[in-house]
Amino acid sequence: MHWQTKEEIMSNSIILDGEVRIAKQPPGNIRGVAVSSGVIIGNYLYVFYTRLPDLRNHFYRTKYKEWYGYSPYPTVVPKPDPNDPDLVKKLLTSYLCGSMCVARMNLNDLIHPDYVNRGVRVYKYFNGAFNQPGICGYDTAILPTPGSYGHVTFNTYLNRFVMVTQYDQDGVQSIQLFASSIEGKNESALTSWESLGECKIVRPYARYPRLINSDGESDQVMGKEGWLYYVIKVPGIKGEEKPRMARRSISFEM
Amino acid sequence: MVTFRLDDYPQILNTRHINHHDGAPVLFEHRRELYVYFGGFRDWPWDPIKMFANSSGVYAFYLKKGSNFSKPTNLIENSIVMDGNGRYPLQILRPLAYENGSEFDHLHHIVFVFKYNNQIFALTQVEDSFYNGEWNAIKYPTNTPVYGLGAMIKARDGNPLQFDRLHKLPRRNVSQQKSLGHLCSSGRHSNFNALAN
Repeated sequence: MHWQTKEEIMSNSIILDGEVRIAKQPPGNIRGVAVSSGVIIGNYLYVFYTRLPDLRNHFYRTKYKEWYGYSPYPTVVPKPDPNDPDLVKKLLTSYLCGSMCVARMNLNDLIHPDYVNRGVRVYKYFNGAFNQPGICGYDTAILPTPGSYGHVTFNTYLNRFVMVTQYDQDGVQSIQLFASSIEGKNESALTSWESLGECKIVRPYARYPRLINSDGESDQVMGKEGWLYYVIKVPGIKGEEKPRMARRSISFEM
Repeated sequence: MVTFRLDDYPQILNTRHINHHDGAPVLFEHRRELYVYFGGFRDWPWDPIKMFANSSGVYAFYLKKGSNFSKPTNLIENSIVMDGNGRYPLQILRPLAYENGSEFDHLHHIVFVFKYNNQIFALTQVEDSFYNGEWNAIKYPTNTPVYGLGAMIKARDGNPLQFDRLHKLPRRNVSQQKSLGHLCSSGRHSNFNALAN
């Protein structure tokens, strides 16, 4: 069987990946990202993505009793105990608890006459500035708590950006909401967030939350009321669980 | 202080032919229509080697602008974009690695569609098929592929149902390089034929 390496799958359309390991790194092994939404302000596209926990290194640890790499920046995954019988289950669970990050690209790159040679330049937000390359660069989490698959929309009623994320801990699912701590539609607001609280989900599965305005025409702008869409598991005919799209109405107060 | 209130009980939206939803809807207004993209699997449970390419990916439905989601299930049932034979929902995007000739598949999700300089672009998420690599790390710890990338694609001729990569993939013959939408537009079996050529 032929397994693709990073070089094989990479094409010019790839703009963002994870932080590359620097110590004893197996070939083609990188840390992944999960791109979840975008916001355009002026000529810039802001890409929101989940920095996935560095599970691969944990697995290497469990198999070879040796760390192949380390992350110099805070991660939501605690150092695992290799003798823990529930280690795999815990790691797969914590996979859902990444950290939200943001990167920026200039949209003029997309229409540049020399695009073929120039490509798209994406910069990750790191330590207060968009200064790390989209490919292999470091990043800084922008939310005060863990969260994954964040969707960002601008709320005209609040005059702030609102982000909704999924969170999973020990099998308990919740949807978390955040609002930018700075008013207005500007870049600073996209890197400064405060928590609005969480919503427990009864069923043991809630993924890919997305906020859509009340008339269902936009996932970029919403007002006081709207819809929270997400994927939920429902019982199937033969007892299996099937992921289905679900929605709940949501309203904001100030 | 900002607070929010959420309905206690969710509405479940069924989509005919889609047995596994894998992503909430992504919206894009274009002209007088509203395009809605969502990740999904047509077949479930799936065989990751045989069925992924023709089953998983991004599907779409479109609504006339002015429609609303007051009866979302009905809207989705009647608005889903079907393939050329009218038999299956149209795969707007299929797994990236499968298209690139590998036996290993990656999901490919649209997460944001936007218009810039009168051209339509989309931001996509590429991920592998086994829990973003953890499964591969267990089975094949020294030869694992990437697990999680961001990619940009562009609509062909301004059609939000046909997307091309911004550049041709280096390993494919240019004459065989077709739009993803074209490859996926003529039914299940011809999809295999198109890829085999």
